[in-house]
Amino acid sequence: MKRRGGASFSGQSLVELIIGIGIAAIVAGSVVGALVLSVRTNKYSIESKAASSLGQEILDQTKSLSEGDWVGLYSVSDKSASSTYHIDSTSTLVIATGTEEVLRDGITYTRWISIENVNRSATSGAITLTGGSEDPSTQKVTTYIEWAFFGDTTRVSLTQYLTRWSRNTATVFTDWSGSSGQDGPITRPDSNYFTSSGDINLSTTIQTGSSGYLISSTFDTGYPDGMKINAILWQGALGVGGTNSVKFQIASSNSSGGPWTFIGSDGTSNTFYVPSGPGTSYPIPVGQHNNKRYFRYKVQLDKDGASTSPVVEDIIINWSP
Amino acid sequence: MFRRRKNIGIAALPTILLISSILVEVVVVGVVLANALNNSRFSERVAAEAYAAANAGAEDAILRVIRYKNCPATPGCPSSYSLAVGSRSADVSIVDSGGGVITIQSTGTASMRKKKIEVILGASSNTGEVSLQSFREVSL
Repeated sequence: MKRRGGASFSGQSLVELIIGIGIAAIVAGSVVGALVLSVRTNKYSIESKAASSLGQEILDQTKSLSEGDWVGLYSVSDKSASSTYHIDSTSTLVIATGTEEVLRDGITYTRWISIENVNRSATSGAITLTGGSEDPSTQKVTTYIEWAFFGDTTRVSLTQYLTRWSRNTATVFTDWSGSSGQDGPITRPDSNYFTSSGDINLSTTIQTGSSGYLISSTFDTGYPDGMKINAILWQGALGVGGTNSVKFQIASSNSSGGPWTFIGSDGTSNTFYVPSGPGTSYPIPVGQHNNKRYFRYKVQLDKDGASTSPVVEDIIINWSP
Repeated sequence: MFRRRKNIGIAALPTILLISSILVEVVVVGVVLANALNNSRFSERVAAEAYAAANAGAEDAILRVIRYKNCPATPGCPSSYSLAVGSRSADVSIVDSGGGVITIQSTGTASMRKKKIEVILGASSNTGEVSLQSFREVSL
């Protein structure tokens, strides 16, 4: 009885032990799996956060560089989603080809940026993914950060548009009372001009009794790498009672000697930039007058049946280096 | 003797179950906490993407203000619009605050995270020349 009972209880204890070990093994397996997953996820979170920080850092550097030297950013040779550059910050910020490696908390990250051209709609001015015209004043910059993670390569990326707006400048021409024949270049507006033609009255204003035009001296923006002319506008009065017009053409060049090809809205000499009235800017199409150091303007006034003449008091050209 | 053997035999399963349940509880709590921490870090990474998108919207809006002197009153410079920035987006508003001040607000969105940047520009009423007064992140 004792032997049989003892054997019976011993057998039950062994079964319990085996069941217990089995449960413990299942629990331990699940626990270890959860811990491994948790540790892995935790490691990924820490490293991807560091990667994002490195990405933001290089975006900030690229923005600083673009504000100081837009043409340097825009003029890189390869412009595509697969282009590979990094910012060399050894002395001053410079765009260099290839990737760079950054060591952060014992992890080696490889980072680079791609630079792409951006198109805009000619009608709405909105950034478009298809169609439109390339806008040399907007660039798409994507930063990539890669690192090894448990034998695999992991990547995070950040995308941003950069635009050419810093050091925006408005050059105001407000006096034409001097004399013609001044070729330039001039670095600040004065009262002289290059030439005029037709019925044109010049003083601190420009007026016409019928029709005439004026061509300015060459203006030097002072930026060897050039600038982008953003817009042109004028101040004054259009006149009443008819269909007077005040319209412009602009010629730009990287040489103070020209050549001076005056163009208008469609990029030819057949058209003009025609603001809808005084005080209203005419945005220069994105593909025109980019990265040129010198410019001249031509203003044409036409009086057409109005009781009063058009009067131009200021001509304002807005540009960004 | 018989009773002792019986008690020893019965104690094995409850003991293992008890220890296992405690272990499971500890690990579950740990995993939940770690998961919360990871979500926080993931959220920070997504926030960086939202911030970059908000920056892109602000940059685009400044260029529009420069090109269109009477912004926001022309088709090329709407008072509000959306901009796709890679796989993210930015919602931009441009307001003429009066006194030659233009206020731009750009809200970048990535997943569920949003970041907002506010730009204050001084714009000459005569020449349209634009100067930057502030460019900063603001609370939503």
